[in-house]
Amino acid sequence: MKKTNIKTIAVDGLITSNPTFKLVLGTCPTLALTTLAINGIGMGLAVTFVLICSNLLVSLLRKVIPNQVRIPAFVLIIATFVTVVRLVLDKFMPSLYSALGLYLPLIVVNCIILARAESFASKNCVLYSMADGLFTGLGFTFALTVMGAFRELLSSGAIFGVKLWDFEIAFFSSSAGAFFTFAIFIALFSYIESVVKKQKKIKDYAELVKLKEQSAFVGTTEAK
Amino acid sequence: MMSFFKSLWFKCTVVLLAIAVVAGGLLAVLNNVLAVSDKERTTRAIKAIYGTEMAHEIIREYDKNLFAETNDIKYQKYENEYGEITNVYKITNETENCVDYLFKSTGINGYKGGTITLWVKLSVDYNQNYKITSIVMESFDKQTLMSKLDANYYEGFYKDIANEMQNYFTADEKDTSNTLNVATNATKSSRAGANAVNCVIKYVRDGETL
Repeated sequence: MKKTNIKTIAVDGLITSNPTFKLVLGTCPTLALTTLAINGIGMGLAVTFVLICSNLLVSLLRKVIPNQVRIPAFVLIIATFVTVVRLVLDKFMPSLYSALGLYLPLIVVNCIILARAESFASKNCVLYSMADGLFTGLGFTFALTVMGAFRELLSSGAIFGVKLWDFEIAFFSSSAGAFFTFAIFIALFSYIESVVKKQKKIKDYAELVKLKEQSAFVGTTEAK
Repeated sequence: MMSFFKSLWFKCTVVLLAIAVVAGGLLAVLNNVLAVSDKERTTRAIKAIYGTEMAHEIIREYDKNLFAETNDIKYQKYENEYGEITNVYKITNETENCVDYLFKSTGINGYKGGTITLWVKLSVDYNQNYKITSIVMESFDKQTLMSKLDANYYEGFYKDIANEMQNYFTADEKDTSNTLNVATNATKSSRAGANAVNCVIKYVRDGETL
């Protein structure tokens, strides 16, 4: 069993259990909102805030909430923070609020948040739960931002609204383009992860061989 | 009696109620602090168009309840075949002279029957000639390709347009009787945008209150 500490939580949330590219969770906003990089970063940060706050509260109340009503209790907590995010965005960032549209209230039923509350926050201490919320949220933000930047660049020749060239492929702003981009990034993420794992294995094996050779050398000199 | 208070269902009810009450209280306070009023939304739209806050006089501001009470046309929305206009404001300068008119217009028949709502700025010269001088998007419904409707698209309604308020706009290339303004790959959303502008043109041509 993996030992829980901040470092493993960070690596899990960002890479090994990346909610978008590895667990394929939160697919609706991933496909619908990544037409622009700014939408991706906005949605990602909104989800991160809700994740941190809901994980904090679920972890604090984990011994108080009876097992039989844990899901309705989690949904109540998550819905509260989503409403807070909606109120804040509508007040201070109206353009982002209208860009996120329907997908903002839908964060309430986002499976990433419910999954982290159910599988992590309800079983771990407050500090680890908040760290889990932060890094899982950042992993989601990273995924949405890179996908948004890729689609924005190819569909309108711009990144974060800054025009770079006039070359445009309309397909990438469509729903089919969203699925295609998602597939490319999942494949790329898995490929990079497998290469890194393979290199780590080779490195570990080389170290093992080196250790064996050293112990064999020590053994022969002692025998002499 | 004690067994009732120790029962599981009592504990479950109390916990859920407690969370709901605390969350409700928190949201009530935050809503009071952060809620955006209609007035603030109008001020935002004016700021987006003029870059600064401007004094404005209400010509029309749709309010169903007030209209039912007073029967004043000021609170009624204007509707035609292109869509509806819910708000019309007269923007005035420091000397309280009319600078422009600002319309909140919703165009119908977009993608999947959805709508696009635009703020349309109408300037008036000394000869009482009206001219659209700025358009800002307010909101939309069911439109998925709104990023295609860029600044060039909105400028297409007033830049280099010779016959102001005479022609309606269309997103259909086959419709030669109206002025074509269409964003590539977003024909249906362009139609809703054109309808929002046409709604304002029809309002002025019909001689509605200004």
